[in-house]
Order: sequence, then C-alpha cells, then structure tokens
Amino acid sequence: MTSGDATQDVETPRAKAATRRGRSAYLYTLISLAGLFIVWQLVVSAQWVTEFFLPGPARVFSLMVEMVVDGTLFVHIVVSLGRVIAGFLLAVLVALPLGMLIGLWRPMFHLVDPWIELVRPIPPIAWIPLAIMWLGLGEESKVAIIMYGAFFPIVLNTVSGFRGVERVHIWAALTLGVSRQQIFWHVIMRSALPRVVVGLRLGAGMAFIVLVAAELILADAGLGFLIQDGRYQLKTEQIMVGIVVIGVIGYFINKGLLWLESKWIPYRETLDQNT
Amino acid sequence: MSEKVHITDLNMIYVSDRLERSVTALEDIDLSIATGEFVCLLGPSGCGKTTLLNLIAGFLQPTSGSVLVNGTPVSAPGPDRGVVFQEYGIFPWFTVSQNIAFGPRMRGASKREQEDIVRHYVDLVHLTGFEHHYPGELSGGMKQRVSIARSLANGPDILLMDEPFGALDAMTRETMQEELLRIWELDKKTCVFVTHSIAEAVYLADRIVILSAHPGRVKDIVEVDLERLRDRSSGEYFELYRHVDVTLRVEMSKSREEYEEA
Ligand SMILES: Nc1ncnc2c1ncn2[C@@H]1O[C@H](COP(=O)(O)OP(=O)(O)OP(=O)(O)O)[C@@H](O)[C@H]1O
Ligand SMILES: [Mg+2]
Repeated sequence: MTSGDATQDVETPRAKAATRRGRSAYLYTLISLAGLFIVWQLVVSAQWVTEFFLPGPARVFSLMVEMVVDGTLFVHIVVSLGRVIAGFLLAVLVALPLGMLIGLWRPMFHLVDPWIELVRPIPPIAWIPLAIMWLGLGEESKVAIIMYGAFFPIVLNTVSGFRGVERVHIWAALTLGVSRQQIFWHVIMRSALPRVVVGLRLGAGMAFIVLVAAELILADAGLGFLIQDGRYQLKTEQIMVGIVVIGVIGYFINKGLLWLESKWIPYRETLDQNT
Repeated sequence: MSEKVHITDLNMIYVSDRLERSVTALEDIDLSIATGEFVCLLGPSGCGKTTLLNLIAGFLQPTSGSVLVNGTPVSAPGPDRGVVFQEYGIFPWFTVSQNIAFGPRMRGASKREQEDIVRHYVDLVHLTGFEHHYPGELSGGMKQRVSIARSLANGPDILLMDEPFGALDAMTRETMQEELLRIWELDKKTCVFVTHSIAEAVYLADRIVILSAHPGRVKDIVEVDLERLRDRSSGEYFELYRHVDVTLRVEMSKSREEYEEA
C-alpha cells in the first residue's frame, strides 16, 4: 500500500542461513527417501522375504513404467481423482454453508451438533452396505462414501472458525463506522477463513484416504480397484503400484494445498492458534 | 467550553446466569466531560473502568441512567467515538497499513487518500518500516500503537483509550505519553483515558476521575492545573501524585474491608 519502505529484503547473514537451512531440509528428505528404497531393495535382494510377499522396488517400478506406457495407470488415476474431486466438492457444498450457519447461529448449533457428534465416529466403511442398497453399485455410492469422509473435517473446522470470531474485532469495526455487510465480509469471513481453509485441506486429505474403501464397492477402474484386483490375481507388485501411487499423489495434493494456503493466508504463521 | 459527554445517575449491573449472581460494576455515576478535555479514569483493577468506557462507546447499555454524547443518548457504537481497546483489537488478517486504512477504505476513500492517511499515521506513531508487517509480527507496544493510529486515522470526535500503554516498559511508556500529548495538542480531541498508573494520570490529564471498587463509584475528581509538558520531577507534580495516591489507598483498603466483611 505504501511505497518506499525500510523493510526491503536484503541478503542478511540470517536470510542466507535460512536459505541454507531450507536447502539442507531438502537434502535430508532426499537421504531419507533414498535410504528407504535401498533398505527395501536390500531386504528383497538378500532374499529375506520372497518377491511374492514383498516385490522389490525395481520390480514395482518396472510394472509402473509398463502401466504408464500402455496408459492404464493414467486411466486409474483419472477415474480415482474424478471420484475424489466429486466427493470432496459435494462435501464442501454442504459442509461450508452448514458449518457457517452452525457457527454463527446458536440454536442451529444446539440443533445439529448432537447429530454430527453421533454420526462422526462411524467409519466410512461401515456405510458401504447401506450405500450400495440405497445408491446402487455405480458411481453414486462411491462418491457418497468419499463425501461422507470429507464432510466432517470441513464442517467441524468451519464451525470453530465462525464461532471463534472475536467480539473485540466486531466492536472495533463498529467504532470505525463499518456497515453490517462490510463487517460480514471483512471481519467475520476474514476471521474464520484460516480455520475454514484448514478444514478444506483436511477434508481433501480425508477424501483421498477414503477412496480405497469407496472403491471396494464394485469397480472396474481406479487406484483402489488396482489394489483389489492385484489381490485377486495374486499380483503383489500391482498392489504395491496402487499403494505407492496413492501415497505419492496424496503427498503432492497435501503439499499443493499447503502452498495454496500460504498464498491465501500469508499471515497464517503469525497467528498463535494451532492446527 | 461546551459539554461533550454527560453521564447521569448511571448504574451498571452485570447478571451472570452461570454463577447465578449479579455484579454491580458501576453505581450512581455522574460525570460531565467538556469538549477538548483530557480525562483520566483511574482506579484499581476490576473497578469498572472498561465498563464505563464501553458504555460511552455504546457497546453496552446501562442498567439505569443515561449517557449523552453531544446531547444525544448513546444507543450504539459509532465512528464519532474511536476506541483503543485494552486487548488491542487490531485485525490479525490485515497488515499495519491495512489496519490503519480500514475505516477510510470502507467509507470509500480513494487509493491515494488511503496511502496518504497511512503514511501520516504510521509516521505519527513511529511505525515507519513496519507498514507491511502483520500484527502477529509486532510487539505488544507496537500493536497498541497500531490500534491508536487506526482510531486516529478514522477521524473520531472523541478518543476512548483503555490502558493503551499497559504493555509498555516504563521508558517507552513515558515517551508514548509525550507523543500522545503532542498528537492531542494538534486538534484537542476529547480524550477519555483509562489507566491504573497514578503517574500517568497526573502527567496526562486535565482531570482525574478516581473510581472506587465494588461497586465502582466516582470517589473523587482531581483537577490537574499544571502547564504541559509537565515536569515529572517538579514539586507540584509530586504533590498531586501524593494526593491521588492517598485517596486511592484509602479507597482500596476500604473496599478490601468491605469485601472481607461480605
Ligand atoms: N461481561 C461481564 N459479565 C459479568 N461481569 C463483568 C463483565 N465484565 C466485567 N464484569 C465485572 O465488572 C467489574 C468491572 O469490570 P471492568 O472490566 O470494567 O474493570 P476494569 O476497571 O476495567 O479492570 P482492569 O483494570 O483489570 O481492566 C468486575 O468486577 C468484573 O468482574
Ligand atoms: Mg479494564
């Protein structure tokens, strides 16, 4: 807003040290990942276990390359991501407005909160039989299971975000002559946002975790299907491919969302609330 | 001088459902504050200073009695009464500049005007270089200065300050008191300043309103007829300090006795 400030970044010794720390963090990550692969390969090469029980990284990797080349892996990923995104978006569509309503309006809290707390401990897998009976074996039941999983982190964090709006901030805005509508957008929404975004990130993570359970329901494609199919065909390396790909995609989704979060909420690290 | 704030027969009782009891925070308050006057509310912790300020600001409605500002009863908070909160109350999602410009921006001030306002008030409270910092990156004293700047930037008629220098060390505190007087001398806004430091009250105020605790009543009103800037080591300053100190001590021991009897 103002130009010509005194806090322009200079390469101070401390800034340099921070960059160095950043670089060595990457190095540690690399060493730890490489270490895992080496141990994994050693265990297999030394024939402590047979490759049926635990195929080595080389074998898993070569199957992965094969599946990339013939395009099947891509199809599985797209199908699974489609389900995850659909379930996640549906969860957002319901959980955001509901969470906002609950957080801002006390009667709503007392009305809905008991239900949320009652249903929340029931794991997604427990719903599979009913989901199939009610929604059939098609996409609907799978997406519904994913939506169910993503729903709770989003709604709970949204509620706590809106309940956490501080009275002093509303009062401050009122003494600045700010209108009710402006208070809603610039104070209430802004105040709740960091918590809501945490909810979205956890919700997206949960959608991805629930994916494999959802694809236990009759499926002919998807990463969960890949794992199931590997089990029936006794192709352990196919199971491993499914597991590794889910891990890697989940990792990048989380990283991406964290990055988005830091862009959206640049002051996040300066807040003293946790999570 | 005309009258700015007029408080008559004011009583404030908080009712706590949870504890099933009520607390009389303020009792029979009569107080009149002139335009351009600098009034300090002084009293022990819990005597109702914040409550009185919140009533003038319009955040609370009195149990009985009335608060008039410019002759009209206070019914809600408004931009004519700027408030510097005891717990800062600045927005953690805005930078220092965005906090200061918030009021004018919401009223539709142009980018240029906002920039000018920010530059002026950042300079006034000595926060140059911290415009783009978030409150979470500032010390307690700096947050209080942002809070003061944000209030001033909105151009209030009355400035209500609740222990604005509470988070400062003694040295910075004295400097900030001088700064505040410098700013106040510019356009002589009516100031109501809450403190529990006697030295601060004697240094700043035209009049010191001494409140007693449980219930909060106006115990005494002391006029400070010293030239500003005041010499903190002068005999007159010390004389007044002594007078206020004695009054306050008597008050505190009295309220303690009452408390123990009850
Ligand atoms: N919201 C509330 N509900 C019930 N009682 C309250 C409430 N706010 C304040 N009180 C009571 O009113 C009395 C005065 O409180 P107030 O905050 O005005 O004191 P204060 O003089 O500002 O104290 P301090 O110097 O510690 O800030 C206290 O006894 C307090 O317990
Ligand atoms: Mg107080």
